[in-house]
Amino acid sequence: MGNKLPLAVLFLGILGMVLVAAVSAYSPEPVALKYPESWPTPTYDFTKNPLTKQGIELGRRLFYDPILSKDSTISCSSCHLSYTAFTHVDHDLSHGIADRIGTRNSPVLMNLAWVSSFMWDGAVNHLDMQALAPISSPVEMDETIENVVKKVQRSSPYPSLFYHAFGDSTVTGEHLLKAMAQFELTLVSANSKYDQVKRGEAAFTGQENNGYMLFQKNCARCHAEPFFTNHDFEKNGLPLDTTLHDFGRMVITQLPTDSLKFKVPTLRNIEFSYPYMHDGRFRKLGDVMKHYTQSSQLNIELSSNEKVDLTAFLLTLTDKEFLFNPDFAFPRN
Amino acid sequence: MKYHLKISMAILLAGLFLLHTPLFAQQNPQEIVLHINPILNGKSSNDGLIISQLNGDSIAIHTLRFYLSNFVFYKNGKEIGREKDSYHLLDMEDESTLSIAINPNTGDGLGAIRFDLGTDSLTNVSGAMGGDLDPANGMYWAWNSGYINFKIEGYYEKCPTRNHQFQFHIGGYLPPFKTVQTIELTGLNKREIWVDMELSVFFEHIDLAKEHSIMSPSKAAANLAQLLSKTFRIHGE
Ligand code: HEC
Ligand code: HEC
Repeated sequence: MGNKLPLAVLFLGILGMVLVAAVSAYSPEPVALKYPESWPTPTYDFTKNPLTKQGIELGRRLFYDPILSKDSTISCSSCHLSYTAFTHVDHDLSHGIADRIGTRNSPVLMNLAWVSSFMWDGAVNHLDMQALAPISSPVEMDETIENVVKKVQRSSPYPSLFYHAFGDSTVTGEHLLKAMAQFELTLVSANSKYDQVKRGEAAFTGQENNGYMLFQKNCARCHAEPFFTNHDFEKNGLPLDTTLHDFGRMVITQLPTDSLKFKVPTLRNIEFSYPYMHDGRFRKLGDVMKHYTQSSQLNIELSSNEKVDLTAFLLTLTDKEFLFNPDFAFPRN
Repeated sequence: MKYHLKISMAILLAGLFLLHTPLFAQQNPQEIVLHINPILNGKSSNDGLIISQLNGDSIAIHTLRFYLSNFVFYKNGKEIGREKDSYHLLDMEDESTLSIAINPNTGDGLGAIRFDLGTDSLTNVSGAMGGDLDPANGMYWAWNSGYINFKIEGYYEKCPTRNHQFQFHIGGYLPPFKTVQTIELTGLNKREIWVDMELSVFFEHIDLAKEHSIMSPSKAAANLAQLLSKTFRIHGE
């Protein structure tokens, strides 16, 4: 009967090993995306890529890591800086690897969980796949995803970070893209003065209020609340820049009716996302106002006082908490 | 007792070992194997390269990669099953990818198979996926979302390009330039199905001296996709 003892010890031993393995092993912590109750549910399908603390952290690290570029000089943040709503201020056309210049202005990155068409012309149909474009663009990072996967696999501590995020220390294109999407999905801007007014926590000044009314009358059909974009492609009357010959949406759909249509950009944090438009042709909001009132296509009339009021309203879309959120900045650890 | 423990451990280990051997898996009575054999004028590839003649000029195909997906099985004209997660990336350079084991659960006898050449539109808008669909396989367009359903590249004497190269990357999931094609193989009765992909059907319909490079969705790409679907036929028929 004493023979049972070794068996019991063996059993307990195995049980112990399983437990130890389970504790130090893959146990991602789920994260729920925070956004105002009044907003619609996101269009991003989180069941295919559930947010986790480990996945978001990995994505953030990759976003800030120049390993994604061919000569390790350019990271996503080179063109998408957190303090300026993730765009590249001062440059009309974005600067990439070896100072090569692209053909478009880098857009702000925020509230991406509600976006299903990316880039100024909608060339990219899913947030997961977006990172492939800058990685392989010869004027941006000039790399291939195949090679990035190999480099990241060889670079400590990435294999272990991938394990903790996805339960597999083998780096794959799928997991790399999903991690980056997870980080980008957390970039929610919803605490501007405008949002506080909507929640009854603050009040507009008379000028801002007048600007809000002018906005609703003239701008909201394209820059629709609460995202300040209708997520569609529209023509806002800008003439073709003959040095760039960018016909926007038509390049993708090949439909003549889509000529010069561009994705309606959000106006949240517009104070910080200059220069404006797909080619960065306007440096100041004043120039934007001038365009809208001069263009014959949209029939917008604003007196100079009204322009001032409308601008005052646009400045209430600045969200300092978003711009200076330490969770979005360069990961220091 | 100690002895018994050793014996049961040994049996357990042997069992685990058996479960993992491919030999064991291959004995699955339900399994049917589809062998795809790319050929040009009857000539197969050698080390991932097909060398042949086209209209009296030499031609070489060094890259042939494509997706087969959405396998559906039929018996006596009725659907009897579908393959789960049905995506296969076939690559002429890696012979193991040219044989696809499918498990139609038919008991015995399978009359017909239907599958897609390429990937369907849902797959193209569903974000990052793994395995054969991983974008790191080089079958995804970065600048304009979508899978490259079919890549065929090589050299032809009459191509007026650098090194006489031709390069067709066929894809596109949006109408009117949809490229996914449905293929049906009927009259099946064996456990191993040998399918030839006679590429002359493709090349006979294009003038490589004029049309030698396609890298994005277009009307031309949609036409070529149709031609490609006609290259498949049961060996010996
Ligand atoms: C060289 C500058 C540059 C780099 C580096 C860069 N981007 Fe961009 N990004 C741009 C430009 C320019 C666009 C707009 C492109 C277009 O419309 O064709 C853009 C667009 C985007 C968009 C689409 C936003 C929208 O609302 O449509 C996302 C998301 C994005 N970038 C994320 C990233 C990520 C992630 C990385 C790193 C892998 C990255 N970017 C690297 C310049 C850059
Ligand atoms: C018909 C739809 C439409 C209307 C109406 C409209 N916009 Fe726009 N807006 C757009 C589009 C499209 C763009 C991007 C155009 C481009 O880059 O070529 C844009 C760009 C902008 C930009 C630049 C944003 C950036 O990040 O570069 C600002 C600022 C702006 N609009 C403000 C306004 C204001 C203020 C009004 C009302 C006076 C207004 N818009 C009315 C469609 C519209």
